[in-house]
Amino acid sequence: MPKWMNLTLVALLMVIVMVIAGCGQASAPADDPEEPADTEEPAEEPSEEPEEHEPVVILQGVDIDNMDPYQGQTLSSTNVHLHIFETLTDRDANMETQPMLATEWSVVSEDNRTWEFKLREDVVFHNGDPMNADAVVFSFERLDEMIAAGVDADNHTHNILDMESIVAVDEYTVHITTNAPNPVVPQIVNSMWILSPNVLADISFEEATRETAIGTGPYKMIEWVPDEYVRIEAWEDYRDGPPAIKEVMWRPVPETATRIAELKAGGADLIVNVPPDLVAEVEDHAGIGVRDVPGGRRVIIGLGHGRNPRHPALEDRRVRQAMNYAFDAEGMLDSLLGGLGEPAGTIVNPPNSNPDIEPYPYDPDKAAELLDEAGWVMNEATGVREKDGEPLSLVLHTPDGRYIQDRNMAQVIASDMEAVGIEVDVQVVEWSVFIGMAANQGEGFGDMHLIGSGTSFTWMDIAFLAADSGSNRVGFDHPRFEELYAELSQEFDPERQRELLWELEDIAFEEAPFIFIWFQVDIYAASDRLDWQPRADERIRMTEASLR
Amino acid sequence: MANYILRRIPQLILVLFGVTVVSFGLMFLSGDPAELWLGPAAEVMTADQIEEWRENMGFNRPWYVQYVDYASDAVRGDFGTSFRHGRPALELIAERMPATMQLAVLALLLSVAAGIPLGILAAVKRNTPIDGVAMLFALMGQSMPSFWIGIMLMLFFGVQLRLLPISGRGGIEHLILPSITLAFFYVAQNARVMRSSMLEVLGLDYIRTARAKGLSKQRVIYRHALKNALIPVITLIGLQVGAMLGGTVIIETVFAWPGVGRLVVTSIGAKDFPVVQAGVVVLASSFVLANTIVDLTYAMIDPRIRYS
Repeated sequence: MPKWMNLTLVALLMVIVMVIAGCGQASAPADDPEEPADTEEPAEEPSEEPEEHEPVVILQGVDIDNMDPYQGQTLSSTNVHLHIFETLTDRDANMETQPMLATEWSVVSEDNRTWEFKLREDVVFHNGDPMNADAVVFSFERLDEMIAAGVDADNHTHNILDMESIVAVDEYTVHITTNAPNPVVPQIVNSMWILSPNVLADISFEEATRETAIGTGPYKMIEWVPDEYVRIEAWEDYRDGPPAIKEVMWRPVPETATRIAELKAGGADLIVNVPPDLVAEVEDHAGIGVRDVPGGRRVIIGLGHGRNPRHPALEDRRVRQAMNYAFDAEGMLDSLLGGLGEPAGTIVNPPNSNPDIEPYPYDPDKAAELLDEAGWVMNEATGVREKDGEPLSLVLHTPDGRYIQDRNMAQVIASDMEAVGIEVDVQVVEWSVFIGMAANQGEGFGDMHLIGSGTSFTWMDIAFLAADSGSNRVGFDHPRFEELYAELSQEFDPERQRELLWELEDIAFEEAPFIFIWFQVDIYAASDRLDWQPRADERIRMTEASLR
Repeated sequence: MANYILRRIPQLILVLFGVTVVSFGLMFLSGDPAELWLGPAAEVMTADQIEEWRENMGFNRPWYVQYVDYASDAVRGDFGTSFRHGRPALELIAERMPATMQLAVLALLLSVAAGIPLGILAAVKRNTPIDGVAMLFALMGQSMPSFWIGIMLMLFFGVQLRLLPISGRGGIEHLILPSITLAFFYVAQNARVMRSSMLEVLGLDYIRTARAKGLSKQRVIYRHALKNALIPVITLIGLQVGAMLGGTVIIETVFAWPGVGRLVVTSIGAKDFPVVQAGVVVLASSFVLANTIVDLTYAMIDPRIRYS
């Protein structure tokens, strides 16, 4: 072999050796600080004995946006912020409203516009500043000022709260007055983070940093390296005692396959958004498992009628009901989602929903009966039902990739409909076009549309069908419903609220303005060492977790 | 030489102008900016509210007025404030530039260090099994998507062997998988071009003359053939420098590497147009700049270029 070739080979070998050497060196400190790099023994010890101080690593798809909880509006941000900051009320794991910084609240004015919140008297911020009425007033007014200044802050909460003024009555009492009577104030203030005026009063809205991320929550902000990680640490002086998990690291990892690989390799304890088709793969791997929960996103197929007239058949309640009977929801969840999730019969999330409502059962015979009754009879030649020569042929618009299996769900439902003689033409629409169609109460949609909608976990979920709601894209128009809804939106008594809501849900079920699909399931995966259950509101709370 | 540089400047400006037009047009090509940016919020807003938002954001002005506004700010490095982060867009990009550069430079070194010897080896050992294996490797490197290679490496070295960290930025060890993944395609490309260029040169008369003088094979290849055979490879490497800066987008996403490419991708998802625009302009400019520098170097090496 000529000399030069030796040289080339040596050079190549060197590159390879360098790479491998790099691997070896890297693995030693990263995986197992105790053992020498050349050991033959598998590095099992750390996972067998999880040490208390080892951080819990959570992988979300995107990074937090901002150190200011009002400006960091993505779920990824909120998940981090809710460990640092607290609110007057809280939503517990069952989505019920509970006291947090406030101990009690009630309406105190004749006109139902003023709410009184009594505050806890034993709360301080991480820096020792007292949490009192002044801090609450400051925090609420600050959001007003941000929005007035054109800062992209939490508009949604601001609009629903619709606050006229807030005053400190005494050191631990505040009065919140809304522009109109607003029964959801106790629920909506769970997005109003209480900040310290000493820390933030003198700095501009753009200057939120790690140093200003000071709340009253069980964790303290340690470090944020954008696009790399956020580290938070248990606050030893938290009023209820420090949380069990001492340190949490949140890393943004956009790629699903990478998140799963990290979890398998032990580089993460909890990952979000596991696609349904990878559930089995995760379940098969030792030491990790899938955790799923019916989430807050209601997915339905809207049937245009009433004020949004489309195909004449959809005007008939019996046809709309028949479509629900013809849809095999269980079968679809089995085939598309490996049995994850449950069919729905309402658009109101637990715990507010009417427990007596059962989803429409799969009953194609009943569907055929109802369609016959409505005068839509089968044309055996075409396989499509007809009335007065008009075929029962509908267009269904669906986005692709916006909701779990959206497009495939539309296809399955179309074939279920065809089985009873309803022809459905599924048209897949790109999302930016789709939301254009959805605007102005869905005026751009065809006969049917597949859409999802977030929830507030309050009785307001039913607003989906209110006449003036932007999300009422089916044209639902029901005088009794409107009457009850108007009463509900002014009702302050929880008992009466529930009665009204349940009756409204009954009407929605009977009238069947949708084909009810499901509450979209949220799928997480976690290491076995983490004892944690997902919540329906997608909030990840390490105070609800512990290490096994 | 000065002449050559002077000739290149207008070209540079023209390209950068094109880049700003494209990055500006991106926003309009992708649909109605109001509906895109507002997203689901637009669903529940009234037409008046949307119109008001357009007015506040300046989207109701004619497009050319918006462009002039945008371009004159962009020239001064002002791409506006990120919708998502509330900070200047260019600042966010600049913050992530070092991570991207780190990855691209290492991948470039790898692709040169492995690609060129591989190409030489294949050329010299033409039509032998060594050549066959080298070219099979090159073919694979060029045809496998880097996304897939990345995940395979990750599963093998990270999950199976647990030798290397899977994602994120940290010590040197975090650089290994992403830079190898990024380099893979370019190793293959360099090897192929090096091989064919070497073969061409080896067939030329002056090589035969050199051999006839009785020089050793090694001396002929390294002193005589390599110099000339490298010229097309250098051109290629010049192009690769720029392509790698842009090509890190996928790698950064797969490996959760905190670079410019990934920021741009997340910003597209979040409809954060100022950041997308700043990112496109910065990446495209570095591409243009890298190419210009290579061209200039090249002109210094090869007199035929600067005088033509």
